[in-house]
Amino acid sequence: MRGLGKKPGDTPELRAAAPHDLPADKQRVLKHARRLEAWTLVYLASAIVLLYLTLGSSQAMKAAWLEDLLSLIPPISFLVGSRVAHRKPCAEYPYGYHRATTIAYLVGSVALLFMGLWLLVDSGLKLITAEHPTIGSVQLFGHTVWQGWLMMAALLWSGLPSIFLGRKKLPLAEELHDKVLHADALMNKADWLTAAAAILGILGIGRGLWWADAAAAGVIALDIAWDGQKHLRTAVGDLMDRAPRTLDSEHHETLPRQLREALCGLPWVEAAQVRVREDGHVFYADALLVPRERGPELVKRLGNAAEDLKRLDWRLREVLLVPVDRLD
Amino acid sequence: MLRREGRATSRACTLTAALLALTLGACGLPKDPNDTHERVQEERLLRAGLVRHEPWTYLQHEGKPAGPEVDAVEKLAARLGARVVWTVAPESELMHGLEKHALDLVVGGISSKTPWAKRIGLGKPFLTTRLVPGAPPGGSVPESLQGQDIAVAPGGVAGALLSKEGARVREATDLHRAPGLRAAWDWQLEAWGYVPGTKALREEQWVWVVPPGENRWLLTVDRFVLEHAEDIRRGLVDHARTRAAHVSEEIQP
Repeated sequence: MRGLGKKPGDTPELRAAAPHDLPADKQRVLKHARRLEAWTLVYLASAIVLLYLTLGSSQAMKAAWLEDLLSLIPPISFLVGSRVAHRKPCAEYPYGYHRATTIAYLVGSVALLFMGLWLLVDSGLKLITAEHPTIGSVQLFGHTVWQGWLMMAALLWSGLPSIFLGRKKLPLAEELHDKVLHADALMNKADWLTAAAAILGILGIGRGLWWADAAAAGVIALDIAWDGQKHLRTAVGDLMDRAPRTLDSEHHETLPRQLREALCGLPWVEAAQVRVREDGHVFYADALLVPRERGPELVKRLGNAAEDLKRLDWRLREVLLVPVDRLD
Repeated sequence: MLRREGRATSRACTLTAALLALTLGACGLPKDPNDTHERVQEERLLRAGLVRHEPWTYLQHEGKPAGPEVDAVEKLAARLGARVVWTVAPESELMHGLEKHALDLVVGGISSKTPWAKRIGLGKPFLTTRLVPGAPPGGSVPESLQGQDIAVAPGGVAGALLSKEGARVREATDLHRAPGLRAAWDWQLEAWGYVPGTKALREEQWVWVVPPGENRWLLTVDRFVLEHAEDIRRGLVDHARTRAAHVSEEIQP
């Protein structure tokens, strides 16, 4: 924390959210995920270097290379984010640091979107100006070989292993409820498509179809931009505190309804309204409730209910219960 | 679960299809979009551009192209069963022609750093040469060039680079007659029997260039010129040696 604000205890009038450590089993998953992401970085670095060395003047290669460069963002934000996000809340950041991952997610998605659009325009221009890509030769073991072969080999390396990495990461992302990791896993899984498109582009050049290269690059660019807008919308939604959604953002989380049902199921509660917001990996819930009676035991009941509700889901960091006269 | 398996199968199918396409497409890759390679062989005609750049390429008294690169192009044409039609023009004109596929090949001591590189098909560098100070036979180039008297060809970059290092530069119209240290290309020094220094003033890689995107043709040209790089270098050395010999004949009455 090093100087980032005082500890909560220093300023009793300010309240910081309860310190929240991951459950032990999730800690193990997190460790596993961090190790996988570190390996992803090593692998990506090797693919990026290989692609760069064989880049030539192929637009499709450039697109595949840029995509690999961009796919460095999620693992890095995950590795940095998972360190920052699990810091304890302090007076300066009373809600903790979980939203750091959402910020990383936002920045990454903007980069994806604009790179994709730029690449799309660039590829389109190459098609319009009918630029014929030149792919020369390389010296390999004393033979002069067409460089296209090396390009395709590099693309295979950039496409195939990432499928397995993506498949391994996907369940971890679900368990940790981590959007960055989830996006990363999906991107890795889909990376073979990029590689296949680029290989088709190079094969096209090889068959004398000059436009195949720019066309393949255009397809890759579209894919990048599409990913970008999808993640951007999720990130903006998260920052707007929209109703929590599942990792793939296709369905609403059931947690708010569960909370409300649990509250209404209590004998001393007449009616309740629940609002849940997502803060990176964790949820904060606040509920308005109308108690049936207002005896001195109400405060104790509220405290116990909050503790019980928190056990509904490990991601639920705080439940705030506010007794009211009536609901609007 | 079922859906996932279905996806995996379709993915496997796609991969197999891609591999199949790879192996099928592998025959005779790459091809030319504009069929330059086939055309040269069918029409038995190689349209070559010549940039005058002695000794790489030059015109003899009767206007006939000559030089080690000219010899090499003639040899390439012969191998393909074609004859060469030469177009002699400045580099920019020839590059424009190349860009529009009006020529098949341009030669004449063209550097790999040519500003045209992005608009044409740049071949693989077949020769690297160094512009370097050399000492007369038996001598050696001093470690520091500070205050040294060095002869250079007039108007070249060698003079400017050497003055920056503090050498006393002497411009000599006939460099091969200048006494003492001379700054020249490594093949010139070799022809004169000079001992080259270790630190190069400039390093240059030389290429042949073809129309953009004609990848089969480029591969053919690359293979040929890499195979004949030694011949071209020897041609440069011979040229420098002959000139030096001519001059010594002139001196002797």
